[in-house]
Amino acid sequence: MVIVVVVAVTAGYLVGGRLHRLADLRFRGSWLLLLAVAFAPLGFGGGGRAGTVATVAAGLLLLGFLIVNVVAQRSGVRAAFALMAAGWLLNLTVITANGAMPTPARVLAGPEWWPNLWLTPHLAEHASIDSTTRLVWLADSIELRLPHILVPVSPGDLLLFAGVIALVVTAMRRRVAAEGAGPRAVKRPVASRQEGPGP
Amino acid sequence: MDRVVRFLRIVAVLAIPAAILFVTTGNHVQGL
Repeated sequence: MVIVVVVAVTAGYLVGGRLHRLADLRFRGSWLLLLAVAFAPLGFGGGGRAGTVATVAAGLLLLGFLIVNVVAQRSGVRAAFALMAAGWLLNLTVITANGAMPTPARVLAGPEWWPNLWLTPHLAEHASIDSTTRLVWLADSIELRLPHILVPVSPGDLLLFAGVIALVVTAMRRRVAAEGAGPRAVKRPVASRQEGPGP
Repeated sequence: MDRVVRFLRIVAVLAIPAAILFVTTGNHVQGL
C-alpha cells in the first residue's frame, strides 16, 4: 500500500500536480472508514464464523464510505472512488464466497517477503486455490513478477490500485485544471462582448 | 499555524487511500 501511494504521488508530480493541493480535498463519511479500519484486523486475522462476520462488517462499512464519496464528490475524484468501490466489491465478493482470499498454493508455500509486513499488510486470511474454490477469476490469481518477488493480485486489487492513484493524481492536479480553464473561460465572453456592439 | 494545519491535512489525505488499501488488499508477496 505504501508503494502504491508513493507511485501515486510521483505520478501526480510527473503530470504537473503539487502535493500541497491535497490539503483542499475533503472526504465525506470518514467515520465509516474509521470503523472499517477498526473492524478489519478482528475479521481478517480471526477466521471462523466470527471472523467472517467481522470481515463482512468491515467490508460493508468501507463500501459505504466509498459509495458516499462516489455520490458526494465530483468528476475525477468521483471516478477514482468509483474504481475503488468496484475493486473492493469484487474482492469482498470472492472473500465472502470462500471465507478467505484464494491464492495460488505455490505462492503460499514459499517464504513471505519480509518487508511485506509494512508494505502490503497480510491482513486477509489466504486459502489455497483448489477445485472447491469459487469465483477463481476474482481471486489473487494474477501473478506479477517483479525483481526478487512474486506478487499475486486480484482484478479487484488492480482496480483499487488504479483508483488510489487516480484519486491522488486528480487531487494534486485539481487547481491546475481550474486555473487552466479559468482565463480562457473569462477571455472569450469579454472578447465577444466587445465585438458584439461594434457593428 | 496555518502551514501546520495544511501539512496535517495533506498527511490525512494520503493516509486515507493507504487505510483503504490496508483494509482491502493484503497480498501474500513471496520472495524469490
